[in-house]
Amino acid sequence: MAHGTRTRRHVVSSGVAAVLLGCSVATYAALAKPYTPADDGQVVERLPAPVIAGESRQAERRQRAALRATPSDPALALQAAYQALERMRLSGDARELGQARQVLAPWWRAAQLPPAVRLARAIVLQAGHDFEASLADLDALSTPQSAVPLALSAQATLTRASVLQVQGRWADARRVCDTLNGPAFAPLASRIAPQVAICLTELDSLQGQAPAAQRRLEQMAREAGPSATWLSLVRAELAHRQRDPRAGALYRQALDGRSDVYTLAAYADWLLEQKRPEQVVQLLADTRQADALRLRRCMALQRMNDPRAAAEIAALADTMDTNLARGDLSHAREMALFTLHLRPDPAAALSWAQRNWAVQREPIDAWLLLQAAEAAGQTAAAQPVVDFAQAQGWQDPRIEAARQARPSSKLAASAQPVRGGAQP
Amino acid sequence: MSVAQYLAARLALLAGLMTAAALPAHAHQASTAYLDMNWQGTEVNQRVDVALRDLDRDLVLDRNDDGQLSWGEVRQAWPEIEALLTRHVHWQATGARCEPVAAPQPQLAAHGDGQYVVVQTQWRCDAPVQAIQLHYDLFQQTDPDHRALLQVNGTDASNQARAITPGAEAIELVSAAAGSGAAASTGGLSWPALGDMVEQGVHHILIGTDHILFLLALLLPAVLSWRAATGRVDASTPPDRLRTVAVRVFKIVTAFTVAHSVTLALATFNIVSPPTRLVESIIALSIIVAAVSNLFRRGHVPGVAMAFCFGLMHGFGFANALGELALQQGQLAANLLAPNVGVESGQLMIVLGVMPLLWLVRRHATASRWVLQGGSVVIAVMGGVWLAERTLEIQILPV
Repeated sequence: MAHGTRTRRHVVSSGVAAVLLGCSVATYAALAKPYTPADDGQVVERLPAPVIAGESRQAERRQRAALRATPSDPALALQAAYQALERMRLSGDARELGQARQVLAPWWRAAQLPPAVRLARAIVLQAGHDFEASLADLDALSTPQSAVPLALSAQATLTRASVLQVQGRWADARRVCDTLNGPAFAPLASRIAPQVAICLTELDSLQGQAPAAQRRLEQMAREAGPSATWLSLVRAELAHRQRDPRAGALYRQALDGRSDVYTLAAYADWLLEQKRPEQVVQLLADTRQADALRLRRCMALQRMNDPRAAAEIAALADTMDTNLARGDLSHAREMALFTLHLRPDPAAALSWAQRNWAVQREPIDAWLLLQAAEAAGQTAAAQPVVDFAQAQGWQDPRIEAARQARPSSKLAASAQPVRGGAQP
Repeated sequence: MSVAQYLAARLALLAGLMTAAALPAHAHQASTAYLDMNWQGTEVNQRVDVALRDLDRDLVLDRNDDGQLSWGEVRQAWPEIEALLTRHVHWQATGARCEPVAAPQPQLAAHGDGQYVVVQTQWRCDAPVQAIQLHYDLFQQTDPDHRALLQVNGTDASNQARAITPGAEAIELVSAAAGSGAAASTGGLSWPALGDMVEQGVHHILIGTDHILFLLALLLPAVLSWRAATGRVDASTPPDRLRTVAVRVFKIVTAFTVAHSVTLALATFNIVSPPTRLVESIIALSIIVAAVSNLFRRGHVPGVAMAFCFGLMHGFGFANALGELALQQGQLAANLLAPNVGVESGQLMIVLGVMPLLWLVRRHATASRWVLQGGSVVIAVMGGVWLAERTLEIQILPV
């Protein structure tokens, strides 16, 4: 029987998603259908183009050959590991994480290892969401000591602050960041000052001092140094949280020249919130990029009723299936977004958003849990986010709205039928 | 360059790495192969799908280094690919000796993250196969994140593949039918069951009710003209013949078809996409207008103009409901044709089903009046409910 537009569209889209996912499960058993190209000249696969300026495939091969010859050369391994990490940052390609892990293999389980290798290992662990193991390595490096070069110690300290921030341990992050202003790091003070300032100011901007932080960041931007891109990103995210329309221009500034997955995804989220899906599709034109970006692209295509949506959602569903079957649970954020928007299944979305919140607590993770709780009609499930914001002194318009809606929400939840849609 | 110098030089770069969560976790799919083992009696079939990207890393498939793999380059490397797989994916049957039947043919298959080679091999054994000892250590030396997703004898109860970590130890595979072992599952999320999909499909057919009722509102008076319904037949105007009625119906259906095809095309290609709520509301309104006009019209056969004008709106409605579905074809022409063919055939079924019935009713003036007026009232009420639901975004009718 026909019914309201929202519900109706939901029925259709969830029908589509069910059919697509059903297909993906079905093909999963039978695997994809084999074919034989007719002609030898036919291009069957594009290999990823080198994403780091000055890199080439040949150089990458030479590096691999050199590593095969001397796998325990720390300088060679480090260079390869950082290049793989940088490629992963830019392209989002998880195979690069495998490569970084591979070159660090001789030290992967070592208790004693060169400090620089330990730092690389910590960054790889963080990227794989093994935050506790990552912090253990970073802790060992961030206390200045004679065996660890001071610059490396500073680097480890900054990385440690950012891992703590991702975990939602803002007070710890602030304390760690603050140690860089201490006497131990004085010889480096002028070089690390901008990074330390950004780190502390971003925490200020989250913890109730947004306007002052914004002014300070603007001031820093005028003095633009080597961290200009990072600064633009921090300012863009602050503007985004404050619902300040300047966020768009700041994101574009952060993407100027080179684009990384994190910034692209954040900008795409902002564009989607601004109801500008066409620009998202333009921004994320490559259909073979990181899941996080394919996901945003699919959301945009779906909102535009674009003919390409179904096929791209199906391919993404296939990847999601594979990730699940592999047992990779570091995709909880993507799974939550997927089940919230692309395969509307509010109950699954809520469970993924909760799983994600247990691991990472960035603003996007908080909003995701709020949205998923609302879509599932379980407003009480958003309580951890409200409590978190209160405990941390985080002032956020969306969480404020959820908090104000809460007193009546318990009644509303029992009186209203579960809202069927996962509409944004 | 010492390690410390290297890092110092990279400090600025790393600052970029360190924005919160700047390193996305597992953003792409990590390296994954798909392994399917099937056996029955004395026959064993194996299928391995391995990503071309992974093979290129270890075997250098891209001989001309242009960043693209041609089918020729893949075929040239085929013996090496087979040798690699023979070395790293092998098995023994318990209590039987097996020989390959034929060399596998070079094939490819698309997976979510790119193209894979497909190596399908068949073996004959000298005794029925009970269990298999599988060794899998593909890419163990080159990618510690590599996993194989294994399926044994088709799907097991959970329809889940089992992830294998490459390693030296043999894995004991037992047919799912035989009981344990192979049926290990990774748990996780439950995808919609088949029943749900069927239910969604039924939903999808039913949500077209508004278009059906609009068409019906136009067809009622086209067959049961007011005159027939009131029994006022006089000598000056001969009663409609079947042919006249059929032509009238044909014109209305054609006008509706042409109009909604135009807007369906416009919407499918994203040339025009009016707000859904507005479209759905006008569709509801069109039903009311068509039905109510049946109650007041005197001796005038309505339809063609109304069918065309409102048909434009219904086309946008179809696009909303069907646009996404049509895309499974993945091709432009199919995107437009598939939904339209569906809509037209559905429409034809309604016309062919309803017209003969109405023609029979037409013989009886009283019945005609009841069906025309009563039917129109019911349709108008339905239109009213939909209009209220869609403009106010409330839900009156049960799902």
